[in-house]
Amino acid sequence: MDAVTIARRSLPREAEAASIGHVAHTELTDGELIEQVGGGDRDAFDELYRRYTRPVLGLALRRLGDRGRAEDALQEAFTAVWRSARTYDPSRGAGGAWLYTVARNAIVDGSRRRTEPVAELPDRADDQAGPPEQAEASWLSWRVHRAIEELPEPERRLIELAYWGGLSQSEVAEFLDAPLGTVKTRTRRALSRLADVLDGELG
Amino acid sequence: MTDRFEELVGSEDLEPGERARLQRVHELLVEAGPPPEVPLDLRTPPAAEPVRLLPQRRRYTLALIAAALAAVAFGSGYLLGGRSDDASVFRSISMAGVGEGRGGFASIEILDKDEAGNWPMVVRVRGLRESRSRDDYYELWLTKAGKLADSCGRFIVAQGVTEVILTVPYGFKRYDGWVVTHRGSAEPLLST
Repeated sequence: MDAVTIARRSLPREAEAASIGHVAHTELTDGELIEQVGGGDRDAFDELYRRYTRPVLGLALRRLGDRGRAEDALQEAFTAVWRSARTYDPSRGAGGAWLYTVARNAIVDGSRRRTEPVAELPDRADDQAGPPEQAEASWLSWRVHRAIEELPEPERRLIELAYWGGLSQSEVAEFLDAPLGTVKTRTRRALSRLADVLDGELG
Repeated sequence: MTDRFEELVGSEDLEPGERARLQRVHELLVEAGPPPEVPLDLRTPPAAEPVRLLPQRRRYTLALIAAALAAVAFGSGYLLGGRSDDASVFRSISMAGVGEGRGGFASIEILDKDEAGNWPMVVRVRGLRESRSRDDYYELWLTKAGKLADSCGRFIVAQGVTEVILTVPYGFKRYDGWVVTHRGSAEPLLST
């Protein structure tokens, strides 16, 4: 009997089930989670929510341009995900893309129901961008923000400080009370991890 | 953009293929911009079966209905987030400078609730004007509907990074953000 088996057998049944379930949900792909949500799995829904809260809120902010409306839209989008998860067909595309479509439609539909204009904000990179460019920018932000959620907390924090905190790398090192070399190494590691997640984006 | 990349990763010893791969990610991060900060009351999913849509002003009612489930989900949700290096940190929050505080930055690490039920937190602040005296203090607030709601404590700021430990009794779900103000002013200098 190996060590893993012994350890597992020594767990109380309840704890064992919880531990196995916990690991299982965090290791599932987005598509697998959506399929489980379609079967009414609340834990799968919670994990999906954790992964996509910021991408969905970011998408809603970009489309609606108003914080309060975007926060309402976030709830509506996840309600739509819960309701329509059983229609997800993995053979037609990745889970993240399906979720993007459902969330985007929910944001637009919710806004129309309230007869409020949808204000797709101009992309910062190009104020004159047309709808295709805006859609592409939305999709890019979605993927990047989703990938950031995959980083361990210290790396996520480091990336946020370095890229959006307006700090130089020396200032980040000072802020985190870490040697500059360590900060650079961690930044590399975080970028490498993001590259792995975003692999489909890098072609 | 390349200079910034060099500064961030010190890429001189990277092999060209890896360098190109990381630089592409760097460019994507710059292009995507920052992800939004999620208000405390939205960090847990909607209630067990999210079938009813509630406008923002009624969200607190929903939160009450889901309280038991949410309390568990909030904790486990964060554990799922992979904070494996420091199990005592319950949640970390970033704040950026606004208005006269532009250029400032802060992080809040909320630690596990103590035995009495209070929440200790480590607040690290950088880039705010240095306090000239003990009366020249800053104050951390929790906000509700965009307004200052409850104070989390006061602190003075030194040069470089200031780290303070504050403790509050509040349940965070009732609030929607954090701000830092300067003595006698309600104007936010740092905000989530």
